[in-house]
Amino acid sequence: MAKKINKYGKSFNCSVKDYNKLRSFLRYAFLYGCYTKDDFVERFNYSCSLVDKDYRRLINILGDKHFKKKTPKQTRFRMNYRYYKDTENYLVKSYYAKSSTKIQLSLYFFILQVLNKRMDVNEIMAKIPTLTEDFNVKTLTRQLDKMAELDLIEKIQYKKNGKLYYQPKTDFFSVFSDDDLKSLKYAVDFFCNIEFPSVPGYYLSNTIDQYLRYYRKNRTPKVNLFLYRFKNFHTILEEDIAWKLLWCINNNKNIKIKYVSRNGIVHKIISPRRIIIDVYYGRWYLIAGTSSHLVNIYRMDKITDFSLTAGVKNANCNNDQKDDKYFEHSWSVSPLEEKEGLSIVKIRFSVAPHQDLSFLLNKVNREGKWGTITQINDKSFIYTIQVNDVTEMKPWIRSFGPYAEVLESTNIDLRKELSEEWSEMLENYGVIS
Amino acid sequence: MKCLKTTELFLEGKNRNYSLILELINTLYFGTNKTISPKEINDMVEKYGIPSEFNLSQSLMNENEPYNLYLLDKNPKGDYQLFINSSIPIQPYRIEKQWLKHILRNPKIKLFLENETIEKIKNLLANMDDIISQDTLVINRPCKQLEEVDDDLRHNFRLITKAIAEDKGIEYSYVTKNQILLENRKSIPFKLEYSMKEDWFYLISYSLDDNRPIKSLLSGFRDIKLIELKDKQKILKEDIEKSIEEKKVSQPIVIKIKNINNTLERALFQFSCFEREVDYDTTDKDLYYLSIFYYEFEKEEVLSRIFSLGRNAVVIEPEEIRAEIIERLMILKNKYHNNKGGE
Repeated sequence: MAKKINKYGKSFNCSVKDYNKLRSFLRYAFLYGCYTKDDFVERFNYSCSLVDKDYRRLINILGDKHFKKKTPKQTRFRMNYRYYKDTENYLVKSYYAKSSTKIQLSLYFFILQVLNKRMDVNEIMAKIPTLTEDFNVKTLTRQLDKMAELDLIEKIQYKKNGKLYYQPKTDFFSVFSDDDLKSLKYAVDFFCNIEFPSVPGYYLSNTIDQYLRYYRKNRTPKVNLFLYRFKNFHTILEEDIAWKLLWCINNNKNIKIKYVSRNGIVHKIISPRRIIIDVYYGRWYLIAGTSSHLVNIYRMDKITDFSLTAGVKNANCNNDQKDDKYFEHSWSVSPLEEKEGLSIVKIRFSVAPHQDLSFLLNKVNREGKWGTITQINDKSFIYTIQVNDVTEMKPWIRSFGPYAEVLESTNIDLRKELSEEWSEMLENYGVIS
Repeated sequence: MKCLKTTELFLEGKNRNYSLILELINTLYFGTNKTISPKEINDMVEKYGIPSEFNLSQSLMNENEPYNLYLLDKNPKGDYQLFINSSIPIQPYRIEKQWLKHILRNPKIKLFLENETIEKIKNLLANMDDIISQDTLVINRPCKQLEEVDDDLRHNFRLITKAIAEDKGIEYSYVTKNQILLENRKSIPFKLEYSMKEDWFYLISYSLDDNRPIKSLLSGFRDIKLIELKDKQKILKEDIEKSIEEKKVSQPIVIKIKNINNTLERALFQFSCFEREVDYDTTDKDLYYLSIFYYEFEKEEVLSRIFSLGRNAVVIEPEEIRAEIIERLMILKNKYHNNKGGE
């Protein structure tokens, strides 16, 4: 069979048409970093050629400096993370690789060059060379409409005669001084590292850079002012899904999802209502209703595909106020179980006789959400909180080690569970009591 | 995902080919040199890391039929000039503006922008749809967030970012966590570190009093003054990085993880912001080994994260960390066994 050629006339294309494939590969390489080509084939059903192709594509898009190379036996696909060196989230680069056709590429630039006043499509067409034999007004109109949708140009339709025109956008940045723009650039650089989603922020940073360079003859300093401690890079891997889901939520759309559940792959029609991101772990969740359940929670990294469905949204789609009630006391993402009600947890936080309590008090104040602190004395205090599901709090409580002791809890006996867990852990360390 | 093309986060205009062509057109239009040679085109393509096998240079030079771009025109000397003598305007995309509207709600924006600038942006974005709101996206952060930026924090933040950007030193007083006032200190700011876990800013700087890197809470700084550094005081950023690197603990903590109840995934998620290596056991497919490389000053954080993983994560080396964990577990065991719970 003849090799399929791409837009540059070669069989290999580094651009991305389907991000899903790259996303899985990046996730395994960045988070796990322990799998070889054989593992990808045996454990995750990749073909050898797909592993090679994805790796090659990523090396091209991200650069090979982010990959660790050989191990004694076989290359493991492992990505670097060095806090003081890798200050920028290099996984974002995987978004800078959307594929396009040659004609889209040419038209994008011709349109921006030609469109200097209000013009109709024929006027624009007359100024652009014949790009291919089948280049016509329809192709041009499609590209113009797409660019108008992206807000790069403006589309105007007169009500009287229905005539369509296109015109350039007013210069967005013209009202800002150079200093304003530099400050904005620093702000954007900062927030795209700490806000969610973040990819549009990286784009905006790049846009401001380009504007300063060409339209102000000024460059932003290359110096990085910030470091971001405890930032998870991998959150960006699901941002394309999150972004589309935000659109679906805003526009009341039902969707059909392909979801990897514990019982295998399932297909469901759902009404998305809300997205939650757990910043500590870097996990995205989708809250949605179905025809039979008001509240379902889906891990976004397990949604492998989705599409819009036709038809009216079901009755469980508009429940913002109910969602507030369901998630008001959610430590992470667990909704309220109406039959069980809220659980109350009481924890004693204490320090050793030689220690000062203030660091612990400050930490619990910062991290303890809506819980209350009482009975403060020199060495201890009591923290009480009402939550939907106490089991969600366990990792947080455990993280305090000997500083935290659960006194009591309702619905689930958390004290007993933790007591057993600490004993088991001691046994795991070889201490038998 | 075949739906929603117009709501995509991916933008063709941000891929490398587009960035290269944007630079090419705008440099030719705004620059003094109105032509570009074939070699310069090839060099640009190489600079952007676009493999030669894609023939982008040839497409730009209209020598790759049927993949020519026709954006450039060849002149009699064999160099290239713009086919249409016009620049490419730089505009933010819709999604960039939607995002900008979203971040304006974060109180920390005032650290960076004057109120008038914020108002200007708000006016420009008044009609932009609010795709990200508190109803659609809940950001569950690990700690309470700063609700208001006070004048002192803003003042200190700006002076310190200015010092970093302009390679200046600082003279200051500092109030420690224990409320001790340290006066007449001098240091060279290196980076402002934002802690996602605490919502605090720390300044990492090189102390000229103690000749070592130090980390200080931004909120503790008082009376900061920028100072010009004398040549002998100038310390290269690389030297500061090296001093910090020396704080790295030589032996990583190795944890054996039984992949039960998602423990492996939780471990990988929460240690993704540390330098780490993962290995799997060749005989037991549910057994993994996670090595964590860390700095001396992060030991408590690492131990806290290990404790949070619970029973399915066991430190196997080094021995002194194992001993420390056992000691803490003994305290816990005594607490849970000797006390009866309740108040």
